[in-house]
Amino acid sequence: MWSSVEGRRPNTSEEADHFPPSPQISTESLLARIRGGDVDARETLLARYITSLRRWAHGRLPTAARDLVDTDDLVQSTLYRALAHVEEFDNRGEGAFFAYLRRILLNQIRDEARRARRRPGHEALPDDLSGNDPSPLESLIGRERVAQYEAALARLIPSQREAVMLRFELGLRYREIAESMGLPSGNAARMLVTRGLVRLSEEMGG
Amino acid sequence: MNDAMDPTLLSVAEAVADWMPVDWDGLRHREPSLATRLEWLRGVAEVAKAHRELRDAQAGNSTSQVPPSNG
Repeated sequence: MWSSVEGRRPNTSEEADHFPPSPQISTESLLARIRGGDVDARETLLARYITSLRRWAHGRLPTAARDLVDTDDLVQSTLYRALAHVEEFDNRGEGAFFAYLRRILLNQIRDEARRARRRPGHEALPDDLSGNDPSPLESLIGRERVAQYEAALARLIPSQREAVMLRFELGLRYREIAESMGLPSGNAARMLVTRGLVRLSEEMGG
Repeated sequence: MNDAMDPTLLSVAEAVADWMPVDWDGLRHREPSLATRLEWLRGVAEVAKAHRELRDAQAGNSTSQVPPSNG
């Protein structure tokens, strides 16, 4: 049980100090290579984000929406759509590409849900996809707590918000977070997440 | 942003970020001045735990390889 605050918690399994330098490159670098026509970079980026986007969508969609849309198809479509418009993507720093993907995915889900509910045999689904049907996350901790969390998350500075989401919602290792966000090390990612959590708690509770 | 964060809170947040068990009652007893802020962090820990449960459930339902989420 981790109860002491007087010493360093024993290293778990990953961490950065003993981790070999990552052979991977940052998302920003991959995007630059893709813009230059590098097909391998494109495949690397697709592989990097497909699981993350699936996980993200899984926890956020209410059951009714998941019945209406094929999330995996939409995730793939999101990635290809994003890459088709990669020239237009305005990279505003750490985590911007993942935020960009989430926006495209949510728009696609909404469009698909609208189309689906026009088909016979489906119950109506509101545009905000919420209705009365809780998402899996809401089922676990309640709608109010989820709303509190989302609102608090939105008030964090972008880099902390992204780091917390990548850690909590996608379960990425610190090394992976560092790679995704272009941070110098896993330890840097760990510090960003940790400070983000303190800020998040203040926003949720304060 | 407050750059001078309390080291106790940072240590606890680090444990939360790693889904490590935290002795909340013991901490509150030892650090009464931080009781309120520890309670806020406990709320964050509940969200973290829920996210992890969702991922574990999803991994259990998936045939694809999902990397371990701890560490």
